[in-house]
Amino acid sequence: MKPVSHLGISLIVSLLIISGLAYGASQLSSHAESDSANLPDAVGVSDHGGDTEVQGLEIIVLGIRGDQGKVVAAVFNDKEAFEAYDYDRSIRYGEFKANKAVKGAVRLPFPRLRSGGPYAISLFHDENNDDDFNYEGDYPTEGWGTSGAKDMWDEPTFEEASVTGGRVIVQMYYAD
Amino acid sequence: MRSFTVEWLFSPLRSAELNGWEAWLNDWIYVITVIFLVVELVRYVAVKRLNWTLVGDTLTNFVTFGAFILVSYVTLFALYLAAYTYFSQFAIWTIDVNWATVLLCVVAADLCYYWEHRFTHRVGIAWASHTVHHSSPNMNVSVAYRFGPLDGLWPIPFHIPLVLVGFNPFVVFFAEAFVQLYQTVLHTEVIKKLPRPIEWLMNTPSHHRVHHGANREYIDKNYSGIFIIWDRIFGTFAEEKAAVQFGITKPLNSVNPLVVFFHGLYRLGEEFAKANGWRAKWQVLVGPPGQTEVRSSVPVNSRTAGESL
Repeated sequence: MKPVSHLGISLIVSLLIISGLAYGASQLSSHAESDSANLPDAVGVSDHGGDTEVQGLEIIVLGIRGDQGKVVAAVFNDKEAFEAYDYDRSIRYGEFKANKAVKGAVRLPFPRLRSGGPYAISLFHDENNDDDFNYEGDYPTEGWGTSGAKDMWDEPTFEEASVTGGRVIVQMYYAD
Repeated sequence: MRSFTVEWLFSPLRSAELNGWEAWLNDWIYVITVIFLVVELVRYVAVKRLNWTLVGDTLTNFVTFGAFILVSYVTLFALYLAAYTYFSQFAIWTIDVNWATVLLCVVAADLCYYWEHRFTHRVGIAWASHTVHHSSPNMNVSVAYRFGPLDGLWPIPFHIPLVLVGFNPFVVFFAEAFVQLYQTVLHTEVIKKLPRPIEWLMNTPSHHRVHHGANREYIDKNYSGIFIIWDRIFGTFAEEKAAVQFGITKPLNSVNPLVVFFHGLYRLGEEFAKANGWRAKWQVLVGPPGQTEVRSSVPVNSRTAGESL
């Protein structure tokens, strides 16, 4: 086969190859997250609401580390409260022990929460049980997770974090 | 077994996990580097080529690497992720993160690297930095760590297209680092030729020795990172036949890290000052390196001029 030696054609060929690879990659979607029916439910998360018209919210928390302390979860329907991490003003709040059972993935069911929302979810892993999210300088020393976060350092706004209900996956991140 | 592999290939992958793999790989490459270096030094002793210049040159390679780290890690790391993350909002496709898509991203990043590398050889300002990597008259694994002051800058524009077609910024970063790491072990004279199918498909120590050759027929050849096929496709491939004269056409004859690190910029500055008129000065910066020397009739000491890029 004769090589392509014209610079312009070479560049066009390269762009076509890259587009082809990327298009191929865009067709290779990841398998669905683990089946939530097989996941353990977090103990101590209560669904205290009394809404009549419900479809519920189900949070799947992935990547909880170790077995120290507790995980604090809150569902917000208020933009200000969410962005201020004001857990007292959340519509649902729960704490559960971080142990082996919840390590891989855990389910937080809120079946009585009215569908529609918008709801934003915020979690942190209070490893030292001091009821606070700890930092060392600018770096969090405890794990955290937010709905709609694209990666570790993404801080979604209320709108970006909002879900309407159904199953929502939240990944926990640890900076250290 | 098969279903397990498929299961694993398509299971969702966290970008943080991938960064962990990159760090792991990086650490092990360092370990392998040290082992390789010991083997190479023993070999130099065996063939009676070990001398103080060689030891000094080896140390210089690591010092330039240190200086390079200082420049790039501090200032460029943030710039990479900022640039990639910024451009990811314009992505045309959505690509999930799993090993299957990471694999495709590595292939695409390898092609991007080919063009970046070709650019650093054929554009004056880029060569001013990349010449540092090529200025060692030896070929051992320590040369892989010999970097110039601006070498951390060029990958960014050449890899942004990957973000634009939809690859995750962190995956692009990983893929780019992987293409770099792969080449570390290619810097050796110990491995002669690998089996033919490997030499056909992959970049190998043999192909990369050619790339580091100052022999006329080896200059500006074998730019590829992982897959040598890019050179075969775009007509920049050369087979290792004649013994390779390592280094650059205008040798440095110095193991002083400062001289080594800045010689490219210094020489570019000289040529820029010498060039007559702004058109010529501009040509020094963006044109292929070594042209003024050709015109001032010192062809032996110059890199081949001629067709651009």
